[in-house]
Amino acid sequence: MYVSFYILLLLALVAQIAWGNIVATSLAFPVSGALIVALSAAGYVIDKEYGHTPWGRQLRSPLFTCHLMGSLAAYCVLGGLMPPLPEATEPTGLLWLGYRAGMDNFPTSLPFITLLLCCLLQLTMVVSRRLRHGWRISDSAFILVHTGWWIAVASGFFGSSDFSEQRIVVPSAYSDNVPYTESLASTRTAYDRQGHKMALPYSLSLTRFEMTRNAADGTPSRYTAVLETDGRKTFRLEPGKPFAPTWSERLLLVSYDAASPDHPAYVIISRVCQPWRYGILIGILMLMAGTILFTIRPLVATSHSEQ
Amino acid sequence: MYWTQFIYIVVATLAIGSAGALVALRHKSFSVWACALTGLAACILGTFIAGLWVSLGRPPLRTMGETRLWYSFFMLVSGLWVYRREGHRWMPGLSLIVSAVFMIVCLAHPEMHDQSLPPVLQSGWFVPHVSAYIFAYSLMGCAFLLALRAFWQGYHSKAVSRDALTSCDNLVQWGFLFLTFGLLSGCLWAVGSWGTYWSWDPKETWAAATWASYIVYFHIRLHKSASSGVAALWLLIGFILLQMCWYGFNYLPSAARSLHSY
Repeated sequence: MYVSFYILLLLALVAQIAWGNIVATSLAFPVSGALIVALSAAGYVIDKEYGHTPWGRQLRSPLFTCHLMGSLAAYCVLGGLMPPLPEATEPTGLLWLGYRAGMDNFPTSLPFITLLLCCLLQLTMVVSRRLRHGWRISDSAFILVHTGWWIAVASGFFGSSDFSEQRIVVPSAYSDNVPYTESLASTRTAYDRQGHKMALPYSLSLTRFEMTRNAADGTPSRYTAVLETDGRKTFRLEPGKPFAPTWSERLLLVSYDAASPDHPAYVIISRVCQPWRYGILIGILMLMAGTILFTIRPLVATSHSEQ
Repeated sequence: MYWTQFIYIVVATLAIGSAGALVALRHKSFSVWACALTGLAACILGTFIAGLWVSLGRPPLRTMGETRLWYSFFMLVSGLWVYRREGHRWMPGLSLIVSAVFMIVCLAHPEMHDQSLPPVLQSGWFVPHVSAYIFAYSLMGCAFLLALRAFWQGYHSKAVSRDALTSCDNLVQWGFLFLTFGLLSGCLWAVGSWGTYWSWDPKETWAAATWASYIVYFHIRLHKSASSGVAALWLLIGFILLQMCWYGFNYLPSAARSLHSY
């Protein structure tokens, strides 16, 4: 069983060397939704039909989890050790192999995706078995941790195909003497990471910018931008305090016109669209609640036995 | 409290902590005096950190030097906790040595202790995220010391006994709780600051490796026939990864593209 797992990883590595990293957008919704349903159904059916067989038990076993998570840790270490390659440089020797194996962008490499899919399959099996065989209150921690991890990983992995980020240079609409006119000082253009232009569904303009500085060294301690959409609705942006124009979209203040920080001609906004964010959030909360329960459960059990 | 006073705090902490460690070593059973002296040493260092917080007007958690200071404090607290819970009388002494090393490094390389705090760090998640991580590091540090002891005992008896790791299990369970809280609070902070919960930043990559390694440890311990030596080995691996996640990754070329540098 474990040999088969490592052969599968090896095949994924060969495929990675042959074809390169997977294109993230190829799994965008509804393909991602269909894959989640298929993966869940596969995990459920495998456990129901073959869960009693030796290999079915091995698939669910803690030892297989060790192989999965150990491989995941090893892959992260290799990815973490991979140096960034300067532009227009050809890697040689071991670095060449590392780059061919997708280590420079390992989260979209085939072996890593294979590992994540194996994790999700095993999680589906262990959770569905626990639920099918009579769920008890004492199983809450187990269910919360494993389901939370499943939801967070599935939403993060499949949701990455629907993730997009653009930068917007928002011009200033204010001036001491000239009255504000939207056509002169607003933008409807965003740029993706490759520099491609995209049209925004609304216009944005900067109406006010405030900055406070550290008295000691004059570095910015706080800055706030007040923006306007379509010349009507105003909202405030600060680092770490985004604004949500729609349920799947966030606008974040990234930077400002450093040449003229007191009266900047523009600010730079990041527009992040992540429809699967709520799935990740639910997964995170469940995982945290489950971990707390797992840790305090022995204490509760001890105090009950003492009574 | 000011940084110039730190040398006196180090001397006082080491003197009182050493007295506590010696009392713990001399008594075969749990000693209240050892507990009180080690607790007092931790209180002195804790008071200095609180005073530094007040004088700086911001949490002293921004630079590597400041996190080392917290680690010294939490190491004393964790050592005391292990002594109180598990009764290992050598733990206050060993944790004091680790704490002393970090305090001396702090003295030699204090790094920045100015009052500025970048806007991105002015978040409600800053203190819980960093302090939970540093506390988890100290608990895992104690688990690492216990694992070394298990290896030492195993070297003499030709095998690492399953019971030798029971103390590690309790410690890693609590450490993992704080590690998970640190990781997940970081995700919640990141979504507000950078727009995504997880971006495979170099530090996040090492954090994922560390987290996964402790999950391996738990699952090895669940597997009845698995070797205790292998479990103890994963504690050592986890601790090395943890050091990489904390400061080691800064020495790698990939650190240049990390968002985790202030």
